[in-house]
Amino acid sequence: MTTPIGRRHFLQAGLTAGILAPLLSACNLDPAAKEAKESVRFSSYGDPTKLGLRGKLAGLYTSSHPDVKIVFEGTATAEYWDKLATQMAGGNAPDVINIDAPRIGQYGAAGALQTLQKYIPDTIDTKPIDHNLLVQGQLKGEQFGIPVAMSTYSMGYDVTVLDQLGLEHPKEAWTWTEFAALANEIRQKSGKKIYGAEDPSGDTASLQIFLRGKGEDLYKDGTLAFADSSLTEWFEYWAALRATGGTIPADIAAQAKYGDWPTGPLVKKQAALAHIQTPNLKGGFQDLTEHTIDITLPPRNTKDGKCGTFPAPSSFLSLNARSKRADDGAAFMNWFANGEEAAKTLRLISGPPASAAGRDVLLKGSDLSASEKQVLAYTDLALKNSSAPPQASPAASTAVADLLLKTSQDVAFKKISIKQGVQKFVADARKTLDGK
Amino acid sequence: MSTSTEISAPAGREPTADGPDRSTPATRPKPGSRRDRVAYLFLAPWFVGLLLLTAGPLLGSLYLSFTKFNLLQPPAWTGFGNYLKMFTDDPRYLQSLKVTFIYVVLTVPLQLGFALAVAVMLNRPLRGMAWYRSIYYIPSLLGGSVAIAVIWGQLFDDDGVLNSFLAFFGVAGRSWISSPDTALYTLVLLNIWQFGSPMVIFLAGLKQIPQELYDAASVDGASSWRRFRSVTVPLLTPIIFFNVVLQIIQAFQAFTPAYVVSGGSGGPSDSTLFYTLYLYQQGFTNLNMGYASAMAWVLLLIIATFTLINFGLARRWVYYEDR
Repeated sequence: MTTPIGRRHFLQAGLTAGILAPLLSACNLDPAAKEAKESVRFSSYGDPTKLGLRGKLAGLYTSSHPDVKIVFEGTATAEYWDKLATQMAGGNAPDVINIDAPRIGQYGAAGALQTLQKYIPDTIDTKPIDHNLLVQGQLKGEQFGIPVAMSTYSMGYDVTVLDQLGLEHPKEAWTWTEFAALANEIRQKSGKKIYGAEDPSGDTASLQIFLRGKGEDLYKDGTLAFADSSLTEWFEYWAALRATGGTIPADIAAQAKYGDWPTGPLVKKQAALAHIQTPNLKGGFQDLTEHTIDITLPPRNTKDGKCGTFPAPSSFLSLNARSKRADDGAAFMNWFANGEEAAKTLRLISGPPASAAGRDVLLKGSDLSASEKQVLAYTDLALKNSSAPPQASPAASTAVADLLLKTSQDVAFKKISIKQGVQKFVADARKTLDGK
Repeated sequence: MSTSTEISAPAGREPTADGPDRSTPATRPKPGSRRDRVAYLFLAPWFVGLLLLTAGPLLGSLYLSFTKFNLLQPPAWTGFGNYLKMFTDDPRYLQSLKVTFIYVVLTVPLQLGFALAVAVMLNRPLRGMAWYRSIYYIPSLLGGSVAIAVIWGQLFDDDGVLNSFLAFFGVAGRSWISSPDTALYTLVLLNIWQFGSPMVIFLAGLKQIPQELYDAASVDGASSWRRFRSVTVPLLTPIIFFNVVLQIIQAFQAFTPAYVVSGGSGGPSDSTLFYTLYLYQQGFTNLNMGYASAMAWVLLLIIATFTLINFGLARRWVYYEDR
C-alpha cells in the first residue's frame, strides 16, 4: 500500500513543480530574467538587409560600451506594427523603439512614448539635425522622436522609355499641366503599349505634395487642412488622365500597393512615371528593372510656384514611456543618430542621415556609389526647394489613408461620382479624426 | 435539452437484469475521494490552460467590447457604444457583413456540392484510387497557405493565366482579382478548390453505406441517378449536415486569402473586406481594440445563430439510421 501512495506523492510533487516553474519564471525570479533587465532592448523594422545592418550596429555599441548590452529585436515591416502594439498592451515593449511618422502621433498621444526633452541637449545632441526634420518628431512642441534618416518624395521616371520614344526628360521646375502632357505623350507615342503614369489618386503622400504646392496641407492641428475643392481638383486631374491613358486604369492601379515597388507600374513597365521615396530608389525600384530610373522634383501648381516636397524622417527612434533604462536608451539613440560608426554602417539604407554630422562622414568618404550620389544630389535639391514641413500626423492618419484609398477606388471604378466621393471622404475623415 | 434527459434517464434507473455488472453508485468511488483528486491533479494542466489561455482572454475580450481601448491606454467604459456604432454609424462594417454573407452563401453549397461529386467519383474500386484521393486532397493542404493566395492572385491577374487562356479564344479578359465586381468571386473559387477535407469526410460516409442497398435498388431497376438520390443522399445526410455546419463556421472566419490578395486592404473598393479582415484592421491598424472585440462577439453570435438554425432544421432532413 505504501508504494502506490509514494509514487502518487512523487507524481503530485512533480506535477506541482511542472506547473509552478513557468509561473515562477514569469515572476522574474530566475537568473535569466535578471540578466535581461540589465540590457537595453532596441526594436526595428525593415527588410532583411536593413535589419542586418541595424543589428550589426547594436552589436558595435555593445562591444564599445561594456556596461550596456543592446538587445536587437528586428522584425519585418509587415508584422512589426502588430507586434509592437501587442507588446505595448502587454507592458513588454522594447526600450528604444524604431517608429514611423503616423505612429509617433498615435503612440505619443496615448502616452506610450516619453518626451525626450530632459535628454536634450546633454545626452541627445539635436543641433546637427535639420530643424525641419526635428519638428516632425514633436508633439505639442516636445520632442518624442529622433529622426535617423531622411526620405524625400521624388518623381521617378523611366529614362529608357523616354529616350526610346524621343521624349524630353522632365525638368526640375515643372507643372502638373506639363506632367499630364508628358504622360499623355508617353501613351500616344508608345502606340498605346504603355500608360503614362501611375495612379496615385488614393495615396495620401502624393495628395499631400499636391496640396502643399497650393499652400495647403493634409492635416493641421489634428484636422483636415484643405478645401473640398482641392480634393475635387485632385480626383478630376487623375480622372482626366485615366480617360486618355495618361495614367493606368483602375484595375491595374488596384493591384499596385503604393510604395511597394515589386507591384508598382514602374517596375512592371506598365507606366513610365511614378513617385519614389528616395531610400527606395537604389535597393527598391532600380534593382528590379533593367531600365534606368532617374528622379526629379515632383510637379508644382505653377512654374514659379511652391514645390510640395519636403524632407521627411524615414523613421524615428523613440523611448518607451515605461523603459527602466531610459538613460542608457537615450545615449544609444544619440550614438545611432549622430555617431560616425552609425553613418558608416547604415550609409543610405534609409536615405541620407538626418544628422549633418552623419552626412559629413559620408561625403568625406570617397567611396560613394553612383546611385548614392544620385540620392544625395536630389536630397540637396529637395532641401533647397522645400517649404516648412507638416506637423506630426494625427493619431488617426492611418485610418484616413485607408479611407482615401477606398474613395479613390470607388471613383476610379465609377462606383460613385467625384462629387459624392469628396463629400463622403471629407465627412468620414473628419469623423475618424475626431475619434468617433 | 432532450438529449441530456435521454442520457441522464438510464443512470437513475435501477440496475436491470441485462446490466447487473454495470457500475452502480455503490461500487463507484465517492466523489471527492483520493482517486478523484488524483484525476483532477492530472487534469490540472489542462484546466490551467483552459482558464488562463481560453476562458480568461474570452471574458477579457467581452469586457473590452464594452470599452474604448487602444492597447496603449487603459480601457475606458463606453457601454454598448461599440455595438451601436457598428449597426448605425459604420458603413464599412455593414459592407464587411455583406461581403462575408455573400461569401458564405456562395461558397458553402458550391464547395460541398463539388466535394460530394468528387467523393462519389473517388468511391469506385479502381486501380490506384488511393493515389487519386491523395492528389485531390492536396489543394486543401496548400489552400490555407499564403503562397497559394499569391498564386491565385497571379492566376486571375490582368496578365494572368486565365486571361491568356481566354485570349486564346479571342475573348478579352479583365483583371478579375482587382476589379470590385469580380474580386470576391475569385476568392469564392479559391475556397471551392479547397474541397479536400469535406471530400474525405464524404468519402468516409460513402464507405459506410451498405452495398446491399444498392444491389437491392438495382434489382428493382433503379438507375444510377435514382440510386444516388434515394440511397446515397438519405444515408449520407448526417455527414452532409456535419459538413454544412463546419463549412459555414469556417467560411465566416475566412481571412488569409482576402488579406493576401488585397494586401490587407480588403480592396479594391472594399469588395473583399471580409468580416475578420475589417476586425483586424480595426484592432491592429487603427488600434480600436474595443471595437474589434465587440465585432468578434457579434461574429460569435452570428455563427452561433447559424449553427442553432442548422440544428433546428436538421430534424427535418437529417436521417439517422439508428433512430
